[in-house]
Amino acid sequence: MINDFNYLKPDTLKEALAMYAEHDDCKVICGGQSLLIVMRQGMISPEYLLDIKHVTELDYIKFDKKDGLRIGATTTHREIEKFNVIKKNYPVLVSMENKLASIQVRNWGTIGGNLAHADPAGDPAPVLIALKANIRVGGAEGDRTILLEDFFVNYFETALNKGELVLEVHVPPPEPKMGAAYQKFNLLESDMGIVAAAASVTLNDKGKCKDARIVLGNAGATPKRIKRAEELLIGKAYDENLFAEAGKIASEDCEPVADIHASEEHRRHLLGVLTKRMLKKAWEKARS
Amino acid sequence: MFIGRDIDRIDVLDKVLGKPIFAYDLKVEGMLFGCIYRSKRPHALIKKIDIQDALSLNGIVKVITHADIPGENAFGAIKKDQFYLAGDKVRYIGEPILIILGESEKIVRKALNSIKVEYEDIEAIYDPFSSRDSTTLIHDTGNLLSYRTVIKGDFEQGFNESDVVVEHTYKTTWLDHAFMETESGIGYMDETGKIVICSSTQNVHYKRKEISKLLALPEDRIRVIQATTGGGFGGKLDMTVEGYIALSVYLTKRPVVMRFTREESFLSNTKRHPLYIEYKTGAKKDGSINAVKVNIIGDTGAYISYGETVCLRAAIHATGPYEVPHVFVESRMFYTNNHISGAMRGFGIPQVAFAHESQIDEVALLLNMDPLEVRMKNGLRRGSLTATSQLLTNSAGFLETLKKIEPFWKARKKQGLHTGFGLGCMYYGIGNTGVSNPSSCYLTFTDEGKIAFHSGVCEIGQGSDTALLQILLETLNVEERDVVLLRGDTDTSNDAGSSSASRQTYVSGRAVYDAALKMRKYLKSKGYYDCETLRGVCLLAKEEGLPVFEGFFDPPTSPVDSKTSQGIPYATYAFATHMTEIDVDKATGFCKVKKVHASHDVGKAINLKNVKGQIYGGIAMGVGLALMEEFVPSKTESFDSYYIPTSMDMPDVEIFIVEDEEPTGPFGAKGLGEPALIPQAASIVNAIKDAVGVRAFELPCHIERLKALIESEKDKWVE
Ligand SMILES: Cc1cc2nc3c(=O)[nH]c(=O)nc-3n(C[C@H](O)[C@H](O)[C@H](O)COP(=O)(O)OP(=O)(O)OC[C@H]3O[C@@H](n4cnc5c(N)ncnc54)[C@H](O)[C@@H]3O)c2cc1C
Repeated sequence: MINDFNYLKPDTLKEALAMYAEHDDCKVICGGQSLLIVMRQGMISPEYLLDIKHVTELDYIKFDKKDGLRIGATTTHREIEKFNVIKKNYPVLVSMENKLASIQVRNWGTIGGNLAHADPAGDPAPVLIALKANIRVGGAEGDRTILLEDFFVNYFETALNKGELVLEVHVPPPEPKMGAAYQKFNLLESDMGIVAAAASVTLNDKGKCKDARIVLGNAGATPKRIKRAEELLIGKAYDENLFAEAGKIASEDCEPVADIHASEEHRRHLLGVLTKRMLKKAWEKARS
Repeated sequence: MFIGRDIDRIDVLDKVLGKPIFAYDLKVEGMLFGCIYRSKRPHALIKKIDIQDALSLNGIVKVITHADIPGENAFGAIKKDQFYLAGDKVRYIGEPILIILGESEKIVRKALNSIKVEYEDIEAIYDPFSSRDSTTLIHDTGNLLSYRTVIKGDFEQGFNESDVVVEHTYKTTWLDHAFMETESGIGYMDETGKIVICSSTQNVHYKRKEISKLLALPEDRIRVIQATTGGGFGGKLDMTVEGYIALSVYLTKRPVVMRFTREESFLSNTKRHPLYIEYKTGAKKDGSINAVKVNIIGDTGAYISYGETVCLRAAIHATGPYEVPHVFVESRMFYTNNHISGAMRGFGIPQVAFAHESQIDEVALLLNMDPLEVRMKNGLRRGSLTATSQLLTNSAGFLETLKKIEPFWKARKKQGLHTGFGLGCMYYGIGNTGVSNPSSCYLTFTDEGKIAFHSGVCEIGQGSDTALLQILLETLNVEERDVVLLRGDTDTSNDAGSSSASRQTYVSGRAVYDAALKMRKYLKSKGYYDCETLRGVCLLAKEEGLPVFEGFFDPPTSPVDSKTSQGIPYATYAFATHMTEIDVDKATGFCKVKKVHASHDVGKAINLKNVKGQIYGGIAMGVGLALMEEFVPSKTESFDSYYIPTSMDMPDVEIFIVEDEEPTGPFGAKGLGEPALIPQAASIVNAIKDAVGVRAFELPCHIERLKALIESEKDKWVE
């Protein structure tokens, strides 16, 4: 059962940060789609809930060809999915959002909440890391920007300091000849993934790989880059065997754990298959 | 005309508007919250129970033990072997020991943690084979609950005459009903001193009987009402909250509410019986099945519930919808210290259908025949003798269901790399097995000049209210607005039996028809069909002291022989054929169910929309049974660890209806609720074989199992 709590409802970001600094046993709630579950299970029972859903300052999507994409923390999954400019410039984000939970959940859940929750099975993080995203966080004292891949520390643990909120996600402008792909592997349509893989590939003028990123979801405590496989790709031409090799490395380097949903062995196998498939897909997108 | 019309369910508008109050949401002024303290041990003697800390909590009103029970501490649908509250011994994790009552849910749940029970463990038995061989007894009567056999012809001769023999073993596991609404209800004492229970249930009269024994009160001091119920599937046939609420109201004289959390529901509710099925089929060169030998071993868990029913039903249906001259089936159900298995949509038949449908495909493969042709050749039809030597004289449309599917089967074309097509067929006896299972109802008039339809049938989402009403309207030739339905209340209805065994449209439908015929005669005598209005007839009826028209039907069956099970276990059977198309991703083991063609002989489709709704739901459950659903004792706690298909996982479905009318049914109708599910898993398993060449012998054939099967066969074939 959910414990009794005191409800704090700031109207502005400033107010929110002040309240957050002031109250000790305080949890932020935004869409509640993840928080309410852990509260119901009795895993946490905070004395205060700080509801930032109404802090409209953080509800925005901005795009600029030079600066890239900026998404405020309280922007819902559904808003991202429906935003045409994102569809045009970062289609992989939209296809990822399309398969995140159900429409009902996407209408409530926010990008800030999703990243702050730091579930290793979360969908947005691997994709955003493959797109080299940053995250801006801040507290009453000021804000800072860090690489998203450095934001995740452990299972459900982030680099947020006490009193800090997620403010914004920033994705650099899309590079020419860059393609990205993401797939989660789930047993039920639109469920959380058992495992997932995101890949991005940037080609040079000769059609060879200039840059690549492989980021795995639910393959360890945090979203996991497979740098050994990324390096393997640099300078190489399109080659299915290469993708298979990268997949093999991914299944070796990942660190999934077994649970009731899947064994460790099967997860490793799936991560290899997905890596191979996503690289191929990303590469083909980069070419077209 | 009301029969066969696609009319909307009478509850549909209210339900989409969110108006009905489900049992879970019921409230009464001043109610106490009740929670059950359950055993944490699978098999143990209770040495000591310490409730002092719980009692000292502010807001805790009472803790009830077995010693507080005024009547019998025993219940059970078939035999009264289950204890409401354990006294000296517990037999499974989750067995109720105490009821805690308090002023709020929060305080009561807190109190659960302050109960201390000292146990002395006994060796626990977790599977039916150990149970068979163990000297540890779960009940004094021994560990074998039930042993049934079906013997027809001479199976040894049958196999000697056969040209090919196929022999395999099949295994299934526990499944949860996963109804949307967990077990819940309220109770209170009304102004006359009656104890009233309003709960989420599949039956009311049965529960009133049980409560009367529990409280040692006459039945007329107890009233059971069915609240709007969020699903049953067999899981709300047994006593769930009702006895506990009644006992609590009796002892405290205060209103009481009980609602199970999802975790509690998973822990405490009955499950689908895991069956272990050894199956041997002998066939002749021409494809005719000549002999079948089956050995079924089941795990009923710690108590009986419907274990005996499943044991017998599975045995009787083991040959599937085929005429087999030589049959020998043994079926055994053992006690274990696992969760109680009970009634769940199909009573064991979805499990045996998985086996017989796999077998028939393997026979076809060996004989190099088309699987549909083999089914057509052996299929039950008018004039066939079933495995219990029952002569089918009417309503046996199995071949018609095959014929509806045949053009699609012939035109099937593999589009993907690993596309597969599979058939699954079934027959299912409607109603209880070889025993009387009557239904009664009555009709009269209201003060407002309407027809009062008093029905004891529980509407659990299957649409019985609408179907029964259609039968009534058709027979009386009146309009929906002329009728008031008073349903699911022991004070205002007669016993219609449970909403189970796909029996309500058939059995209760016929009872309604019977009552309606009597009322029609009366209406006619008062000139209703000439010029008199209904209101006018009602006024006349009032003067005559409101005549009551009772309806009754008990399907004509005979008890089956105790050794051979030969006889007439069911008055009528439903038949079906499903054809399923799937795609397998060989690299991952993922199986996508793409399309199902489903063809059902329902006798008569009283309401086509309802018929389709049942089939969609049955297919969804079949997809779960085949590919995902698996309750793992001590591991599965909630939906987080129990996969069931969502609407987004549904395949496309195309439905074909066969109406081979059943003369004893209302307007020719039979039943459909369980048949909709039964052949689905089997058809998926056969489609997997077609797609990637491997056969699943264990359900669910979830992704890892399928991947392992594909790996194990890898060297045997070329990609
Ligand atoms: C049925 C269901 C299915 C789901 N399926 C998926 C899925 O397929 N893929 C997927 O990725 N996710 C899935 N989710 C999870 C969900 O998408 C996200 O985790 C959710 O969107 C989180 O957003 P929220 O606004 O609801 O966060 P909340 O639940 O309100 O908060 C989550 C956590 O983040 C913290 N928090 C919230 N906002 C901030 C902030 N701005 N700064 C700092 N901390 C903050 C909270 O304190 C809390 O710890 C599912 C959820 C449900 C209920």
